Amino acid sequence: MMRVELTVNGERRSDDVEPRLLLVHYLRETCGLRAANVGCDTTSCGACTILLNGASVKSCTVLTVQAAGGDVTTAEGLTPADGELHPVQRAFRQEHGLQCGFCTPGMVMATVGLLAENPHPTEAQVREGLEGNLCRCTGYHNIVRAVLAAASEQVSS
Amino acid sequence: MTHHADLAASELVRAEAPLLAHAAAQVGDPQIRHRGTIGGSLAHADPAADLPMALLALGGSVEASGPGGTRRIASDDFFAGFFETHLAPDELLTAVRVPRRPGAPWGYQKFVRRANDWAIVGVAATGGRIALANMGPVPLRAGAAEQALADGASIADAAQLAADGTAPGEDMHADVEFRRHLARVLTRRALDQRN
Ligand SMILES: Cc1cc2nc3c(=O)[nH]c(=O)nc-3n(C[C@H](O)[C@H](O)[C@H](O)COP(=O)(O)OP(=O)(O)OC[C@H]3O[C@@H](n4cnc5c(N)ncnc54)[C@H](O)[C@@H]3O)c2cc1C
Ligand code: FES
Ligand code: FES
Repeated sequence: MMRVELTVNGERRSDDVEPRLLLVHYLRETCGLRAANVGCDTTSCGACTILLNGASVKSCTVLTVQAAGGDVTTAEGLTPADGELHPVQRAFRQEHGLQCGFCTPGMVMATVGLLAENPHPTEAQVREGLEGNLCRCTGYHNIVRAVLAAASEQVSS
Repeated sequence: MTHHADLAASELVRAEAPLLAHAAAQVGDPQIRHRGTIGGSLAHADPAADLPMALLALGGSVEASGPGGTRRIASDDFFAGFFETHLAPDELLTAVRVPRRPGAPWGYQKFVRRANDWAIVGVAATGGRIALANMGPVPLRAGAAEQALADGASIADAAQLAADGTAPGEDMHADVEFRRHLARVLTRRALDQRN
């Protein structure tokens, strides 16, 4: 076991983990944060996307020990416990950017990362920016609309 | 080592070695570019990958450091076989060098069927060198096409030779003959793209 210290959704944590423990399993099982899903375990689907030090990464391809000292944000961390949804989450609801919801936490975190790097993307840049996130349900059109709505701040509360 | 996203965004690399910055931006998807590194990609030596092909086209080199010191290995001598390099077991890749070529024409073609995928075939061309991805167990030079260009052949005629001396494999994406066809077509496009 190894001791890791890191910040998860603003909370400082210190945990003993196996060196091989993937960050997504640490978040889901040790921290009890179940937003990041495991869809493929091969860095393909994007369902496990979180922010590590502000950049979107697939948490099935990061060892927990590699995140030591880092700052992790999951979809849970976008919203204070009793607060309202993050504008990107509201945009996904408003534009019906989800059906079963499995891909949604990853889509939302990839979008937050994309808009941090490029606050006003074109539709083509949105589609390329989300190319690492697969959705089996929506056909992507409403997801793209949701991202463009979030970027133009045309989201009702 | 430097993440693909940092390489792609670097003003210095974009100005001095734009082909390398462009190649880094073609890798996978944003999340992969935030994690993957140029050193990891070169040491991994996937023949279908972007950065090994780019390094070979640029005629760059790597530095390998181990208990015996540091040595430089040219890209032409670095790739040993399928996912194998000439790094010794006790060596780490500690630096990557490419010639400065601000303003030099270059072309880059990557054929994929799915978003965020590796090249089914890739071609990078600059400064008289043409490198191919996924046309054999290692990234390869299109030597016959390079020679024809140097001898004054037209782009169309030189590109016809792009698959000579290659040994592509077959998989669910493409058979051998389709890969050879892609190498010729993509080489012509990469050479046309240079100006
Ligand atoms: C879904 C997916 C899609 C991808 N698409 C593409 C693509 O389109 N194009 C492309 O080019 N690549 C692609 N990749 C690969 C990606 O670019 C990674 O860069 C590559 O796998 C190397 O990852 P890494 O830098 O994290 O190295 P690691 O995975 O950490 O290391 C790879 C290997 O190299 C060794 N190694 C790492 N660094 C060094 C070093 N400095 N010295 C010596 N040995 C070292 C490691 O021990 C290991 O054996 C894709 C990957 C995935 C998962
Ligand atoms: S579970 Fe991580 S990318 Fe699919
Ligand atoms: S909403 Fe079901 S996978 Fe995207």
